[in-house]
Amino acid sequence: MVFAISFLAGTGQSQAQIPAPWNEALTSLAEKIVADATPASSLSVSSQNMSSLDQTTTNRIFAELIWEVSRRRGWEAQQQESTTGGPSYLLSKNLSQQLPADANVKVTFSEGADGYVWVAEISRGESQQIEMVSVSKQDTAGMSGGKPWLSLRRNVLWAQSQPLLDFAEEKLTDHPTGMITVLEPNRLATGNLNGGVLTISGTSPLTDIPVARDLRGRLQLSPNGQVTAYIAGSMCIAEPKNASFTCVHEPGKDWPFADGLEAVYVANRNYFAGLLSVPAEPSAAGRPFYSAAILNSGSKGPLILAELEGKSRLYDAANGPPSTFNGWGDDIAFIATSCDSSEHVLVTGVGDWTQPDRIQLYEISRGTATADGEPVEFSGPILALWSSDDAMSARIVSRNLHTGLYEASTVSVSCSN
Amino acid sequence: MEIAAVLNSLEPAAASLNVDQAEAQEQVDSLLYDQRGSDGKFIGPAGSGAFRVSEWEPGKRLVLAANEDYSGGRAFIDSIDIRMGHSAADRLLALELDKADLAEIEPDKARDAAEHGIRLSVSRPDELIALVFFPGRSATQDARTCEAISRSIDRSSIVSFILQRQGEPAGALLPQWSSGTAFLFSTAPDPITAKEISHQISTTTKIVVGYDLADTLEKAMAERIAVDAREAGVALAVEPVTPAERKSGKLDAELVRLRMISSSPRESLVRFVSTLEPLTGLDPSPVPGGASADQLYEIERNILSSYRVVPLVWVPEVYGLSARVRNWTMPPVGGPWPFADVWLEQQQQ
Amino acid sequence: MTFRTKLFIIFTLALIVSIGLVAVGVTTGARRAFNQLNTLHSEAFVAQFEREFQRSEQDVVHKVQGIADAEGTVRMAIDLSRPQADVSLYVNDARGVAQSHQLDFLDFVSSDGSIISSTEWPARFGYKMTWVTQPQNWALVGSFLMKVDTQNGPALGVMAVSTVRVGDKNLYVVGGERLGKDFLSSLVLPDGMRALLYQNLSAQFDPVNLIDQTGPAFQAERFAPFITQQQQHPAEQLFKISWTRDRASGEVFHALPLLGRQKELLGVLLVGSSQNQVVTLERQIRMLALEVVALGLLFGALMSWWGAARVTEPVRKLAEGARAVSEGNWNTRVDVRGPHEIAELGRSFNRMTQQLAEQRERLLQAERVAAWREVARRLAHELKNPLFPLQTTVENLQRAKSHHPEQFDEVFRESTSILLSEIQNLKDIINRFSDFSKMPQPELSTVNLNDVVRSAAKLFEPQFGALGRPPVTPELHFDEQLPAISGDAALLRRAIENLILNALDAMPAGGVLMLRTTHDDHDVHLEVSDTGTGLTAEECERLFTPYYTTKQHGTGLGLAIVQSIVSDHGGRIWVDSEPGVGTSFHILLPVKPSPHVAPAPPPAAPQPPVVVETEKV
Repeated sequence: MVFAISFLAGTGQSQAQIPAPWNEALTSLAEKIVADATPASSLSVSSQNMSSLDQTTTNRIFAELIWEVSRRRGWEAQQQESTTGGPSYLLSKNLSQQLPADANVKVTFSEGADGYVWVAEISRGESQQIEMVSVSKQDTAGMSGGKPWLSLRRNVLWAQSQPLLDFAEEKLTDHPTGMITVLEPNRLATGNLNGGVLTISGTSPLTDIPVARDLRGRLQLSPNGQVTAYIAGSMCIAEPKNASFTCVHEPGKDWPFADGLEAVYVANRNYFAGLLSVPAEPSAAGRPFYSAAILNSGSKGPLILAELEGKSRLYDAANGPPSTFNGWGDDIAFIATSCDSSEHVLVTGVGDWTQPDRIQLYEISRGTATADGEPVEFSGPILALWSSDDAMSARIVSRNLHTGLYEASTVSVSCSN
Repeated sequence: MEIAAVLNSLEPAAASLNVDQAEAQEQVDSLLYDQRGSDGKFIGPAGSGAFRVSEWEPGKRLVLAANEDYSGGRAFIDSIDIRMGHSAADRLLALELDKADLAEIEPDKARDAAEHGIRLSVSRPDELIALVFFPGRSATQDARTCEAISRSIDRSSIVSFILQRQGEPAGALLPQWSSGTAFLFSTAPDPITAKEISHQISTTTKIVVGYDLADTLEKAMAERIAVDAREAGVALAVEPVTPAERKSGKLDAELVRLRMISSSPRESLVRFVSTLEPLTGLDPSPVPGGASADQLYEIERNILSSYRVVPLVWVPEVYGLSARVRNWTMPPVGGPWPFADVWLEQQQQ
Repeated sequence: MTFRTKLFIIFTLALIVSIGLVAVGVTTGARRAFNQLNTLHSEAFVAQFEREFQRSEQDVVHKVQGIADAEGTVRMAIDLSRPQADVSLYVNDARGVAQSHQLDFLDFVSSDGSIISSTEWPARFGYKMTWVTQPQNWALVGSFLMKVDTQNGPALGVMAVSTVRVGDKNLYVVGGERLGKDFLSSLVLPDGMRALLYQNLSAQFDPVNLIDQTGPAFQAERFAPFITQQQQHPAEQLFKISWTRDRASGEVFHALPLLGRQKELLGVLLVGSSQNQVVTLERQIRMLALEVVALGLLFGALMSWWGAARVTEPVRKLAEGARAVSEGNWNTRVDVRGPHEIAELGRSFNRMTQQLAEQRERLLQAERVAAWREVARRLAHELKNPLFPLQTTVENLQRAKSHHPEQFDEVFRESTSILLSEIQNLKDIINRFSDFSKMPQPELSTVNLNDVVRSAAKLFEPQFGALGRPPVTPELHFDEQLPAISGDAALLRRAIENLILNALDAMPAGGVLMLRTTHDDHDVHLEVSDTGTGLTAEECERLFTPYYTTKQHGTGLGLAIVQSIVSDHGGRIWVDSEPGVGTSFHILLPVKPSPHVAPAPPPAAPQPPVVVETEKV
């Protein structure tokens, strides 16, 4: 019920509606699944798409199905690693107990000559039951016709041999001017980017920076061109034009996040001690995290924290208890799209610094995260991922394992039908 | 059905086809007649369709000429020369030598044909090749024998190696694109279970599986099935048979081809059931009109649960086209050849 | 067995033994020579097989390497080394390549051991051939014998493996040629020899797997025990099979095990050498020997007949003559002609018989003279005894008449008494002589000798313990089962009385007189023994001569009478004596009535000689 209300009330975006016959089919299927799975106390539900419906559509349908099943049994849902190509969830009365699933359900979105066939294979112990519903094809226009196709586009700006923490492009009326401010572990530099080559015009050394094995830094550009660098526990302010800056060593200085949210950075480590105050999501406050993605709905909206135990959690009180996402990297960032009203985040992979990394776009909906589009592969680990100020792109610092160079890239979402 | 077509838009333009007479009748009628009645039978005079019979040598050759007065518009080509009874190798050779414009190619030869530069038109898999066990045979009296054989068969290898990836492993009577539930029937081999079952069976009689003498694809499949069965501990011998020898009684099982008559899963299933009933002695429940997917699934499951019918692979129809054939579209399942819309590109002299 | 027969046997045996030894020697030598020749042929064939096998191995290695080096194979290897390579593209390649390279077996195997394409079993694609991927340098292994699984069943093949390496992936080319009847057909065999190959394709012996140059071997099941032995203990072996009861049908096989890479038995090459020639030769030799023996026997028979005739006939005649002489025909003469020795022998024989006859005549005459002298002496002695008293008495009468007439009557009475007594003695003496001269023929009846002996002994009982005489102890041992004889009881009693009387006379100092009767199947035996003074050998010889006596008194006719009685009963009497110990008289009388034995006829006129024609031996 909670899921349904939030869906109908809307969240500020218009989402494609599932046609009524499909809803009826979904409901019927959910009822059959619940009936066959009883009296299992936890359920592992996975999905695969064998139909002509696109993955996003089937993911959405699957999310609806998960919601229907959870609603009927009052279960919580947690996304888990999937081996079937589609999303997979663990449904349980109490996810914190981390009990293994009593029953397994594999949902297949199939298609025949007469229409779609959605099949659920319910396995409990040695027994297996199969339930299916048939859906005619004529009802799909509203569902699958308007969904844009999202893809990530990466733009490598330049590469350098010195370690790179962050960079900022100076923009004039949203267009890059070619002036780049670069934050390195020992200095702040400015330069001109032309043809993939950054020509440094000025540098300012950074001193008294605390030693950290995984030093992180972040740049913020204010509209007046002022550059504020957050590095470890220090904050430095620089005027690019006059190439002077002042570093204020303030241990425990908070780093700002979107919508006025701030977090304390632990100077000799590389994580944040926790958001100071999250009125909309009190349960998220104080939880240590590596990175955060504040969804586009503002400070009152949901947020995702890449927390220390290797899981990311979506705090969306409006949609129920936090959802846990496994298999995400430590760097996440919110990114907006111009064509899709859904909430999206960029997520890095789970490898280490010796392995190539990737950026995957996820759509966040109803407490679920669905991979959207193909990931962008990198030739080495991603060291930093920050949303741009307008959230229409993200800055990425990575290291190319083949060349050893540090690459500065931007990633944005492109839309196509 | 064997088809090789030579389409000559010059004088007189003729499209020649090699086709088996019995199978081609439906197709030929669709060219000769304009309309079907409610019972599905063609109505009206022969030749009221896009073509009329010009020459007829029973069992050898049929030449159809374009009907100038066809209400749906005169066909682009002048005539179709249908030649019958040629082997698969001859049909392919005719294509390569430009003696045919259109030829039906065995799926396992499709890749080779493509590598030789022949254009291909491939349908969705619409023909099932299945292993059917005859009733009342002592060697297969124990249903577990059939199950052991069924579980031992490596369908994916048959598709990869024998069919050269022109086909799909079949676990169900209906293909996935038709029923949408074929994926629920496993196609993976289970040699361990097959061995366990064969050890429980006390019979040492060799099971004889027949295949069409003229069908090299069936021969290769039968031999492979024998190898798989042997690995599972079941002795199986393969034997080529002519159509006349099919009912000789010396066979315990046979490879059977079942072609879909339409994309409708129900219609095809009805046709399959009527074909399989006399072969297997099975008496499945009738297929209700308007049957839903799960009803069709249940009927399939019941038929296959006895292991008397073992689906093997789904194969497509493959047509090879000469360079000058234009606007050929793959006919729908059970649908007519679209010769009325085909034209020939004139070759540069 | 006659001398002729013995001579024939000896001659024949000598011939047979010598011919037999020669035949055995020739046969053995021939057989050995044949066996050596067969062994040489077998070894030569085995060497040829090994050469051909090696050539085939090298050929296979060369072909397989050629396939591995071919551009198409290298391209296949490169293609298959890529990730997500489509192996199915090459599923039909092996057959064409094998045909072009004239290989019976060819498999392309991927790096993980999966069969990509197979000539001998096309449907086996995808299945594993894991032995190929075991780490080793196939180039060093070269070729080897192997059991190959084919669509039509297992077969033997000479195989080789080549590896095409692309990156870290291998493509294995496994090829080979069938080892079967075609290979056997390529071998050249001398006459009388053949080659078989047993393909050890199953755990148990299978006759179908034994082939020769034309295909499955005939009567293959006969090889079962030998092949089974090879399966248990592979080793070169010789064995023989007789196809029929005829030994000539036999065949000696030289078995050569063919081993695989793991030293497992994969095949057995059998080189057969027919025994027909050697057996036929043996038979010919034997037949020749038999013919020679037969001829020899015939010759020997003739020779022995002739030789025997030259030798044995005269000897036979001599033997006949000797027999006639032993029967009393002293005038037998033999006429032996021929070789000097034999003729001399005949003449000697004739001289001997003549001399014997003359000597016997002289002996008889001498004995007659001696006997008459003895009789005269005895008669004189006997008559003298009573005549002396007669004379004395008459002289007394004369004296009394002349000198003492008064006593003449008394003297006359005494003297006449004495004269009458002595005259009676003379009469007795004359009666005894007269009795002896006209001894009566026995009147035969069934007689129990024990009764006769008892009655005779009873007569002398008073004398055994007579006063004034040393005692004589009688010992009577009668055979109670004594059979009856045919005789005259009175005469027999008289004879026994004479013997008892003699025995008592021989024991003047007393002793033991034993009378014993025994019998056997044919005769009844009476023994009369004493422990008297005994007799010398000379006395024993003359004992039964009439009027011969060792006693001071007696006529000397007693034993002669006894002998006459015994002789008349068809019996025999002899004496054993030892001076100082005693004397035993033995009488043997036939149980069955014996025919009246006529006295020896007077010497007849000399018979005509037997003429024997002999040649000088």
